[in-house]
Formats: sequence, structure tokens, C-alpha cells
Amino acid sequence: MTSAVKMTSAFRISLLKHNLSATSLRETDAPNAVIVSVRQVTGPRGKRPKTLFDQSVRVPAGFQTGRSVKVPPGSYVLEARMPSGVVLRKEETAQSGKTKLIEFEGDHSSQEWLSWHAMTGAVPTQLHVKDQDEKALGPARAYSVGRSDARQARLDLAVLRGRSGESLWDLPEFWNDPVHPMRLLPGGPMRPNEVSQTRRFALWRLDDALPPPATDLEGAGLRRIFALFQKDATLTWTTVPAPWRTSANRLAPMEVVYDLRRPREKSPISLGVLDSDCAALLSYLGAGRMPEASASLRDMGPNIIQMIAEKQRNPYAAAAAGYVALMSPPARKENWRQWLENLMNWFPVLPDGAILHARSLMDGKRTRGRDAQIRAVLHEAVRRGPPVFTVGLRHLLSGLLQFDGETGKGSAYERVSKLAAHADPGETFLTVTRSIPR
Amino acid sequence: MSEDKALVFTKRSRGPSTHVLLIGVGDYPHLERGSARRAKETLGLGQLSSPPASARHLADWFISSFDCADKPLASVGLLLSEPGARPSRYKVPSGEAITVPRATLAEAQDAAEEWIKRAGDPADRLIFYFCGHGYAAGMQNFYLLRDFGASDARPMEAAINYERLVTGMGSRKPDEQLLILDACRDDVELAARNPTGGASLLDVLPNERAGQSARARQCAIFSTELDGQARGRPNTPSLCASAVVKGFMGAAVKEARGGWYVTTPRLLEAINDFQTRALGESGAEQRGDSALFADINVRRFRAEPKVPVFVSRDDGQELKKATITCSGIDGKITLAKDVSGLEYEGELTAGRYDFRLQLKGADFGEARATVFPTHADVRVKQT
Repeated sequence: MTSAVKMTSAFRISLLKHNLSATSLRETDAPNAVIVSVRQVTGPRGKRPKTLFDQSVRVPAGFQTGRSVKVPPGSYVLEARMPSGVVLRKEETAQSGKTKLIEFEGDHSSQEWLSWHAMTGAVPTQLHVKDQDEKALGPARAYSVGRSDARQARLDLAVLRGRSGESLWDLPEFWNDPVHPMRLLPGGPMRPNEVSQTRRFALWRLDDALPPPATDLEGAGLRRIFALFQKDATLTWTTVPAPWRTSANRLAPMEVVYDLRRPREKSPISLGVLDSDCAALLSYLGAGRMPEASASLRDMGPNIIQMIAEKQRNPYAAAAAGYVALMSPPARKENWRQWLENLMNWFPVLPDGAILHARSLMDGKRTRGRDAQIRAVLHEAVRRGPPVFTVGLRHLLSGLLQFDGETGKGSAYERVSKLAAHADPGETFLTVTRSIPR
Repeated sequence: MSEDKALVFTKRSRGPSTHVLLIGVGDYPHLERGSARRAKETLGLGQLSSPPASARHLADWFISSFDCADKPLASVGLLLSEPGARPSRYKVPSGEAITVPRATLAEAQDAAEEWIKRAGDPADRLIFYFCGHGYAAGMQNFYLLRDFGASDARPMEAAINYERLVTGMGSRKPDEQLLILDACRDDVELAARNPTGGASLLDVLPNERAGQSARARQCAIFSTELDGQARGRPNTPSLCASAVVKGFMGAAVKEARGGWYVTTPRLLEAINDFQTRALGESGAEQRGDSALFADINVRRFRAEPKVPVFVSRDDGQELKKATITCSGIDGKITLAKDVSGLEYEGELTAGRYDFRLQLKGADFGEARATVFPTHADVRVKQT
């Protein structure tokens, strides 16, 4: 009997998540936000089959019909490991010829409009918010004193143009530099116009404030967008990967959330790209949960990097997929490594393309010529400026240390190290908090 | 044994093997309440007792129980910084007591050098574990060795720079490398001001991997997230060390290609699950993450391993002279007799079981549960 014949039963799995319609997400979009592992324990009569079914799939959140997974009859353990680290576990039985509905229920968000960010782990859920507030702050009125009120928070957007992004390593010093090669677009900093705020949280929707996407990414590519957030004497900037095209070729909404109670080690703001298809990939990548990020990539299908870069013209999503693929290479022999070089060559604004290509070269057989090539590509990445993705900064740091050898004052390694010391490793998109120079 | 003062176990093996280096730093002479001149920059850090217990726990387990069908254990190096005028002694399971180095920077570098020398085959596997004080600045992580603070001019000197550590290790021959960093990741200004500071245990060797890929496959697991505390009770192994042992014993097992393996994704799951479980109802959390991740097999079992099972009463009351039996596909077995306490910890092979709990000989209740990695929590309701 073949395994195809055996697979006569199924699970239909979903994550119950309220209020996603209160976010920027379209009502028809069900974000594939969570990885659920479906692992077989026994066959239908309690005996262990020769091969156990074991698959991790992306599961949609919200009131949706769920993700159907065909399985052989038997008993199973299903686990949803949320990007926040919370684990939801169910023991289920799959009966021959039947489909069983499996519904995981995540914690609620403290505000309807924070639903996405609670789901991806960027802000705590309702339960934790209440707990933290009671433990750390006492009554909620403590928020409303002076600056400790998120309703006074402000976010700016800056669009920079220029030939080289190299001087961006020195952010925020250059904001006051009138002859800086990267200049603000006419009109100066822009402000997102849609805001939801409470005493603890603020959320900005960036879409209307973002410049319209250029018709060709390569030509208009010498442009970087940053969200800037100032609190006391510090400036936090986060890279904005706009325009971000979804698989349906729409522009994905982008939101920045501020949590006044975030620990001081973390950045006060977090950027979310509300792309239903890439939701799990991005949030697990940011949370450092690479097994789930890798499962998410596998579930998106083969040649994902090529598909994203070529068909959807989304180099950012392709770069995210590239980072995950490099850490946990797909089993099938695909030509995806070639696409990392294409990312570098086709999108000159994207430092991540060069970082990915360098990292991919490191997986090849080592020769002297190869070492020199890796070094050159790493320096090209530095010339392009800080990467869009936090994980890219780590690859760059480690690559320079191994292949450049120069670690002293003024070296590329020193520059990258300095920025890395102020970057939040828990953010998907590079987010840096620095003191504002006087 | 050899010139390697940290070596507490060695066994010749044909073919690829596993080499372990464990560092547990509890005594910091130059930090708060230390035994020597107090450093100018103590970062508010003091003495610890859990890290040496953690390293000892792992050494005991690896030496007595790490049976890997693919890459058997070939060596264990151990460094311990514990209070006292003399270096610590470690009693190997066979009974011999060995004096081990105290985990100063120089000693750790020597031990790492010998460790790498032993692992000369590209197919060898390296396992590195550090437990002690740690701090961070953004993405940069540092781990404090015993002599941290000995120099006021260069306080970072005796801290391991994470990036240098993984890059140095990654440039060496063994292709599979697992690092477990069991330390806090609090942000400190000293690190932010000296992001390139700290030491490496191994320099990058440019020609070491000729003919191989430029970088080894590495998986580095942090026992806690940024700003998180790595917890441990005084004089007992840390939550992470206990979780790592459980993971290696069978909690992190995955069946693949007809064999049973501990894999790095499952090990990360096990570390998170057992750390969270150990903190129980306290509301505290300790979840690990991984900045550098390769999916590698770190143990192959010769037979199907057992999975931890925790049996307790649903009403939270103590088990009093309890007898726990369970029935599965292979029949009925008595799991425990005359056990007391809030819960019983045992182990079973994966499968569906009917559990029965008797207290002082009288039936209390039954529960049906699936035993599967990482563990099973069986709560028995009174009937």
C-alpha cells in the first residue's frame, strides 16, 4: 500500500484570533502566521507504523476555514509554537475518511488594533499586559505623567536618496549634516497620518505617508526609508522595507508600534509588515526561532527566493527567504544560490543581497580566490549601508571578522560592530537606538 | 592523562567522534563579594554557585550516558571556577578525582586549543557549553571568565566575545558545532562602548578548512532572550543545564530515516519547554533563542529512547505513597511504587497510555495521555 492511499484522513487547522479585521489587514486576508507541527505518535490501532508522519505547516489566523493537512489515520500531537515563544499543544486522533477541525486559541491582544502585533510577539498579549502593569507600574494612572504617556509619542519618516549608503553606519550623527550624501527627499521628514494610541501603546500606519513605489526598483533603488522615533535623548531608527509587494501583487500595509513598557534593552518601537503570506517567515526570523522560520520557508514551496524576487518584484521578501534558506538549506537541489547573486546585482540599494551572496560563497569549497571574492562582496555590502534585516548585520559582522582580518580603529568591522552594539537582535528589521549627539 | 589540564575524559574512537568542552564560572574574585581586589567595573555582578554545578552535571552526564551511534564521545574538557584557594577537583564517574583549571582567560584559551587539537577530523562534532555571568550590548554578547576585572584598564579583557568565539570555532575543521550559552543577556554600557572588546578562545585560521566550506555548520543556542535572566538555584544545575540533559536523554528526539536522533531544532524546543516548566506558576519566563542556526544531529540513539513523563494529581495535592501504573500497546507496567511529593517524574517510549493512580493502595483516578517528545504532563483526576 502506498502512503498516498493511506492518507485518507485530514486535519483542518486554524488559529483563532480576534480583531484582525481591526488592523490594516484586508478582511479577505488570513495571515499564515503560525507554524504548527503535526507529528504522528501511533497508527489507527495504537501500533507504531514503519514511518511516522511529521510535518510543520503554516496555519492561518482569524476566523478562517483553516489549513487542511492530509494525514494517515492514527494519533497525533499538534503543537503551535507562537513567535512569542508560547506553546499550544493538542493531542488528536485522525480517523479514516474523516476531516477533523483543530482550533488553537491564542491569547487576546490588549487593544483590537494591536491584534497583529500581539500575534507576532511584538507586543505582549492582554494577559501579560495586565500582569506587567500590576506588577511594575501599579495603577494605570502612572502612565499619564509627563513623557511617560504613549499618547505624546511621535514618529517621523525619512526617505533618503544617494549613491552610497555607507555613511548610514554613522546614524544618527548625519541627521544634522547638511552636506551628507544621503539627503532627505523634498518636503523633509514625513509623518504617518493614522495613529491609534493609549497611555501604554501607540501605533502608526505608514502606508499613506510612504512615497509611491517607483516603477522600476533598480533605477529608483538608491533610496532608503527609515522610521524615526525620538524619546528623551535617544533616537531609534528602523529600516522600512517599502515598497513590499505581496504574492497578490498588492502593497502590504506597514505598522510601527510603540510600547512604553518595553524593557530598556529592547528598542521602543517595532515595525510590522502585514503580509499574510510571509507573516510566519518574518516573525520567526525576528524572534530568532529559526526552526519555525525554516519550516515556514519549506511550506512556501520550492524556488521561493526566485519566485519572490522575479515575479513579485519584492527583493526584501526574497532576502528574508534567503537568510532562512542559508541557515537551513532546502533538501532539494535548487538553483536558489544563484538567485542570491542576482539579488545583489539587480538591487543595488539592498545591502542584504551582497551579504547573502557572501554568506552563500562561504558554503562553497574554500580556495584563496574564493576568499578574496568573499572579502570583496562583504565590502560591497558595507558600502551599501546597514542591512534591512537584523540577521544580515550578524552575518556581516562575522564575515568581516573571518575574511577581512582588519578589526582595528576605522576598520569596516569596527564600524559594523559599533552599530551592532545598539541594534535590537529581537527585531526582524534592523532597529537601532542611539544617543542623540549634542 | 595528557598535557591538557582540562581533560577529564578521553576515549579513542575510530572515525568521527564527539568532543565536549564545558566551562562553569561561579567564583569571580574581582566582582562583588569576591576574594581578591575588587574591580572598578563590577557591573553590579557578584558570585554564583549554579554554573559550576551545571558544568559538573553536564560532565557527569556526558561521560556516563552520552552514547551516540554515529559519533561516540571521545573527550570531555572541564573548567570550573569555584571558591577556595585551590583549583577544583572533579570526580569522574569511574571514581578518579582530577584537578581542573579555574577558567581564567588563559586557562580557557589553553583548554580550547587542546580541545580543537583533539577534534582533527572534519566529520567530528564539537559541543561547547558556557555557564556564568554574561552581558550584552545590542547584538553583541559577552561571557565573563574567572579573572574578569583583574585589569581596571582593560576590564573587557577576560570576557569572551561571542562573535569572535563562533567565528574562531567556525574556521576550524569539525563541521558540526553546537554551542550552548547559559548566561544572562543584560545590556551594559561597558559593552556598548567597547563593542569590539572581549577575547576569543580561538583565532581564525585562514587555511584550516582548505577543501571544506569556509564555515562549519554551527548552532548557537542562548538559554535566554535578550534582557533575559538565565536562572539556576544555588548549588544546583541551572534550568538550562537540566533541560539540555533531558533533551539529550530523549526529550529532543526525532525519528528520521529509520533512526532516532537528537536534533538541534528539537533541542531548542526541549530547552524552552523544560525551562518554562521549571519556572511553573511563578509567572517568570525563560525562553532560549538562536542567532546562528544549523539543523544538525547531535546524537544518534541505538534504540528508541524514552521520553520524560510527569504524573501529578489534577487537584494540585501531593501524591502520598502513590502507585502509578500505565497500559500501552505493549501491555501494563508499574511505573512507580510508594512515591510522594507533588509529582512523579518517569519516562516511557512514545505512545498512547492509560495511566492509573492509586494512593495508599486505594484507587484515586485514571487518565489517558499521549507520551511524545518533548514530554508528557499527565494530570490524574479523582474519580
